[in-house]
Amino acid sequence: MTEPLFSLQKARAGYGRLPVFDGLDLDLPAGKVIALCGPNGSGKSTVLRALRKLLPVVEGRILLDQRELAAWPDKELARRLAMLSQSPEAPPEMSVAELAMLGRFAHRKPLAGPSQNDRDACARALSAAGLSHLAQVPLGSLSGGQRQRAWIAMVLAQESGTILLDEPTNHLDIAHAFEVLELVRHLNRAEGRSIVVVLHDLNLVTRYADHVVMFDAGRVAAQGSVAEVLTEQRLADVYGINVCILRPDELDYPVIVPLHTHARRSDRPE
Amino acid sequence: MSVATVDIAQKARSARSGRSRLLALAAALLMLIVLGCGIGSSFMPPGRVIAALAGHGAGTDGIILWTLRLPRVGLAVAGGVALALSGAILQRVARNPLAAPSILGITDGAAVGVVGFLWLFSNETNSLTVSIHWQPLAAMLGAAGFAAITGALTLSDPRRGPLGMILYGVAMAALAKAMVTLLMIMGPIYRAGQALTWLSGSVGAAHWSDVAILAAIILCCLPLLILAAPVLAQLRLDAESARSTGLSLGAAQIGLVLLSVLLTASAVAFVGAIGFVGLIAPHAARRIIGDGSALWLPATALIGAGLVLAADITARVVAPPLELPAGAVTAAVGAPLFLLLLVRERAVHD
Repeated sequence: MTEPLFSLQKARAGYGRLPVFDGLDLDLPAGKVIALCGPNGSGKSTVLRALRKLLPVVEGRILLDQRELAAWPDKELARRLAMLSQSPEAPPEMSVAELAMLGRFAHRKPLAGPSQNDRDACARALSAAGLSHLAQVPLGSLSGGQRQRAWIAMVLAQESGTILLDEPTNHLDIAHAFEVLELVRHLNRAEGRSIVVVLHDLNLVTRYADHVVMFDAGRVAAQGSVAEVLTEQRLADVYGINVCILRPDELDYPVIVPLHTHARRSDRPE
Repeated sequence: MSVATVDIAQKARSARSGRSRLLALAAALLMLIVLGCGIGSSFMPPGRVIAALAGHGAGTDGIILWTLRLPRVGLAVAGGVALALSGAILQRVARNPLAAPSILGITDGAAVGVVGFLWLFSNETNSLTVSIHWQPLAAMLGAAGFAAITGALTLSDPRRGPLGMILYGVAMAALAKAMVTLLMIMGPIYRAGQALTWLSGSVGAAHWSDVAILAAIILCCLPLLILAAPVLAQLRLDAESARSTGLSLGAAQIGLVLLSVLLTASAVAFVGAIGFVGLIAPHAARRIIGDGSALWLPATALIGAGLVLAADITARVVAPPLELPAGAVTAAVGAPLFLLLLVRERAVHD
């Protein structure tokens, strides 16, 4: 059996005194596009933040490459693990190229300007994000989709083997959402990077995820392949809605269509 | 022309214009220095100032210049540099253009230190029982104490974030002002007069030794600032993105706030409570050069020096033979600017 990328062991974390998850055990495989999903407040974003060590685990532990997260120095961790948070902020007058260069922080040498390596990495990141022609444009004059790609360019410039994305398709129209996830899949397939992405839209999950973790109220309701996790019964249990899962012949992934709310939950007292 | 060449050409152009603007700022500061040397109870035209500086002028010109006016100008320049850099650091740490040493209670904390020092160590004959050279240390202790309380309150309230730092700072500054007033009323009268001059901020009684100490402290901070430059650049990102790129945020914030407190406290200890320089200078530099480039900090330092110097010159010429405290002039310019920035912030958030 291959070693997991991440391993949460009896982990507890949250905000203030209330834990969002407690006693959470979860292994995430390496080299895949992993989608974390679940209803609002189910803990998926909190797990992602804990994986990136933005939120401390107060009990239990999280291992990355078999090494406890707390033992990773900040810069070394940043070279291994990049993350795009839900609503990142930078001054509107900052250019796309400047933003990408900030992604090089963990690679840059002290007391020196950007090296050729840094410049090459930024150029590759901008080209992968399709923004080479907009490198000198300030963030404030980009469209929503372009701005999201500029942030992705910063994350790519970090050249980490694993990338965490917190709802990267938020606020994006359908075309830009697919564009972002096509890029994410390309990073996985062509460059072998592991991806952990929090996604709300289950139809994006069925299409792009290799592995799905479904959260419900701070625990893992199910994990595995799309077919294993996203069943009509489970969606009724977790989201409380009835859905119909279509498998059109011309697509190699299923399509989830919500029918109506107030589904009967099988295993949970009201 | 390919896209890449356009980029490089644009970059080179903007770098060139940034450098020429920095040179223009330096030239303006030089002119202010000559002017500052010339103005006083006996006016010296620029030609004579330059001659005396070069050592060719009349003997009396040289004496006036080297013993009276240059220390004063030097202290204004050094104080302005320290206050401006301190403000620039704080604005980055707080991610808020409103953060400044005088807003966050650091300047007033230093004032508490100084007034407390004058009160504790005066005897019945109104003379100090210890050397006046301890006064800067008292200012630093006061500044550090108030900065620590503001910092602790901010950290205990993470939900408010950077705005919390401003709110707690304003409250701590008000508390410090009240303590200063109380100490002055309870303290000996003679000391109150001395404290008052110091409080409003003045470079009038400058000595070369003051200039030397302050300049030495700034020189010691320079390598730290150069080391911190990439960290300051990273702080333009929101906290989570900055940490995700590998910044040790907590350590960076504590280190930078300490550096800022050291700069403010040592400046304030010598030039008095000159406020708003740390607010105006970084802001003006952002307007003139932009805060993305490496030239932002040097520009901020030059503008800060020019501001305090211009304020001192203004304070000398508005109502001769009276000399206003330079701090009154910077406050008269800075307070309305603070309000303007507040109103603009509000417009952004609405």
